[in-house]
Amino acid sequence: MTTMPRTLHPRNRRLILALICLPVFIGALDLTIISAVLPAVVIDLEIPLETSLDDAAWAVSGYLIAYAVTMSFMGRVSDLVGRRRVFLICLVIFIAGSWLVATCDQGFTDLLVAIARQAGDRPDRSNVALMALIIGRVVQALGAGAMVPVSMALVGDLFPPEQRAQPLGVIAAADTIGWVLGSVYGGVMVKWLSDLRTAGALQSPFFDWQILFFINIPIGIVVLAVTWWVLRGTATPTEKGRFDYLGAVFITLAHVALNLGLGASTEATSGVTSFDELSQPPEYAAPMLVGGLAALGLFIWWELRHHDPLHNLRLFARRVYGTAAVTNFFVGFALMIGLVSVPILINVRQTDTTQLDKAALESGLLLFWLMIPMALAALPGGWLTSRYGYRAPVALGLAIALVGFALMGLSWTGNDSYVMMALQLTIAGAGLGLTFSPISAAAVNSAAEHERGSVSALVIMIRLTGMTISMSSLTTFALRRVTVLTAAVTGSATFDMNAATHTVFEVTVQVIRELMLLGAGVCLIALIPALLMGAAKAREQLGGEPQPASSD
Amino acid sequence: MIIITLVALLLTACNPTPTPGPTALPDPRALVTEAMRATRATDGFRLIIERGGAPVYIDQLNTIEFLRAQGQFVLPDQIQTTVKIKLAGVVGQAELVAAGLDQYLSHTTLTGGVWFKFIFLPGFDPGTMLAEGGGLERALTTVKDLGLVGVEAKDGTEAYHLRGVGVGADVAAFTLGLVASYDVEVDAWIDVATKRVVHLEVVENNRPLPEGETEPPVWTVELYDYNDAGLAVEIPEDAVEPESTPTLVPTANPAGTGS
Repeated sequence: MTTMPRTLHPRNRRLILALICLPVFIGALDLTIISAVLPAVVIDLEIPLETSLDDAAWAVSGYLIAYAVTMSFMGRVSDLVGRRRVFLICLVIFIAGSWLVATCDQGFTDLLVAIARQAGDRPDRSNVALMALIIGRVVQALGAGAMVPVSMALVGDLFPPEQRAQPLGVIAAADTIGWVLGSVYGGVMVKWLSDLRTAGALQSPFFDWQILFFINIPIGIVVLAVTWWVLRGTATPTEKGRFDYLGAVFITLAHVALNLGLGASTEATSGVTSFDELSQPPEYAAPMLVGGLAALGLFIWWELRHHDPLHNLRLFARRVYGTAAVTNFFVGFALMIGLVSVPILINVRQTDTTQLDKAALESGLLLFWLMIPMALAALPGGWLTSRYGYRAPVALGLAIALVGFALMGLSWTGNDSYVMMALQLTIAGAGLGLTFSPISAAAVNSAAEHERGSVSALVIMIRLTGMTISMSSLTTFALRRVTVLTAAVTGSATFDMNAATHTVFEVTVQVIRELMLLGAGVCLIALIPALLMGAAKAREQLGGEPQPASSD
Repeated sequence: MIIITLVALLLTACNPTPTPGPTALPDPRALVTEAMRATRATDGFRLIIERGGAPVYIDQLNTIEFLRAQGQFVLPDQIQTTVKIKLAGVVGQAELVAAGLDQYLSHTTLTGGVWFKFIFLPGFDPGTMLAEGGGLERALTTVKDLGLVGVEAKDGTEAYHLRGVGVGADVAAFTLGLVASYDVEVDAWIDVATKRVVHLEVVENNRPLPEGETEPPVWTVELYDYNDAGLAVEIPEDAVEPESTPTLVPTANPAGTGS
């Protein structure tokens, strides 16, 4: 790879770094902001409650999938086409996606309805509006996810090797802080907008949850103009080589098919009244899962034989890297359980939809107690890694998270005090956060110097993959459990709205408890690869870098 | 001779056989009679009922707001729809079957997916929708100022557009019995080719509006897929009859909340 002349003044480099971090931060913010906004969206678009969970879940998982998919190959595209061009295009895509989300129930929905009618279908406009929102979210994520590896690659262009660690860490931090703060920011904003509306200060329907996405547009345009200007003088390194189109297709197919397959069974829950009816998932579930696994297999086979692979999968053969990656997947899986369960519990506690803004704020604040300790625990995680190696802090973190999830799974009744819930979420969050630094360090230190940018992105991508798989499979699990338990209780009872509402509450809390225990189980499973990481310390590993095999 | 022939051909070309002029529009009342006969002659159709404008409530306590229904009608008196409602701000959907005066309701949460037999929509009788001399026929034949607006494309079909002012009760069956008995503006579209009713719009501009509402309720009814092979209404044979009158309104905070 050719390198660009490093003639920029350090101050200008830092300015560029700050500029490219802003859209990375906003893109990551939008990854989790939806958890606070989604109840308001479901009410506003008049999505039926019976279908909202599995349909609206795609507003979350669609973003996650697209974010992870685009992250997997856009760094490589920027190697070949040029960073500035790719970064600016991604930013435009993100802005366009934000506009689509904010105006999803307007012209875009009209267009989709017209297309459906041309095809002979007569869809409910509410469902089409939700589909428009999901499409907008996917477009957003295609831009946002791509900006992470492209930004990391830009660091490689702007900074000499010995100075890259800090700016790479800054970008990773911008990404992490973004999705850590997303739900809190969303909750605070929803409450604030609601208060303004109650006070009569807001009249336009656009000044509702939509404003959280509209706000991305002016910010994005300003960043677009400024980065276009500041990056104009930077010579773009374009590597000679070929883009691995097949690899990109295979990994995209694998992501989409696996998530569709895992999420497919939600359709089987509609109107189900007995366990027998749940025995058969939809016909497309199995082919999707098989197809997804086949695409994943083809991706691995192709990457191992391709001259210019998207990712150097041979790294997985190195013990430290392979075990860190598997652990990271499970960390993402467990993290999603906390992220999804808390808003559901808070919403089911509300009996009046006019209190949804309050629920959004409560969800955001409770998630704050999961996310902030998680982010803060990265610091002691780093210190413990340098002192005791990778294995000890990862195993300790997983054990602490296991305790946190188990406490929630065993004690939550739905009427718990926020203090107790916050305390238990803090334990789980701190435990998961403790694993971040050693996992990242293990992965990055396993790679050769020129691979560290892409490996940094890969670490985030693997965690996101764990989160998307978690989201798809848990939605299926939770819906099936809620439907079966509700049918078992209500089916034999007298028709009564109050009894039905109470049953839904009890059943939902029970399912959330089961999810939390599942989270504890996932942490337990993750301990296996964590303990296999070996006791190597970063210094020992870097001493012989890159390590070809076990670092024990 | 040749010149005369050419001139004759030219003149013929310039004066082609006159094409028929625009078809004379039929008499509106005769059209209604023919449309009802053609519609009644079918096995059934699918339908979508949507409400716009001011909210209309299903229950007398004004808590359950009707939004939309999509389903099928099998002549003479059976209807099966998925009804979308809003209760305490939350949107849900229920399955409704009506056969004559019998009504059946199933809801994932409310009834745990079990069919219950009880009168969910008081006064609603699907048999009156297309009844001879009643329902839509009476609504359209007794309307004041019935007029034929013209021929226009509606839902992809070339249709006659009729307009008049009728009595709400006569078109109520097309809105699951929810249109009030005030005078209503009725627009009907009748397929030019089949003479079947394909679209209705009912504006309740005489209905008293809830506080804060300015637009009257507007009902849009689409009728399509006439005689489709898949049309069938399944009457839930094992429906449960509730022991007491169902409680449709939730009390506040049934589960309690944390501190």
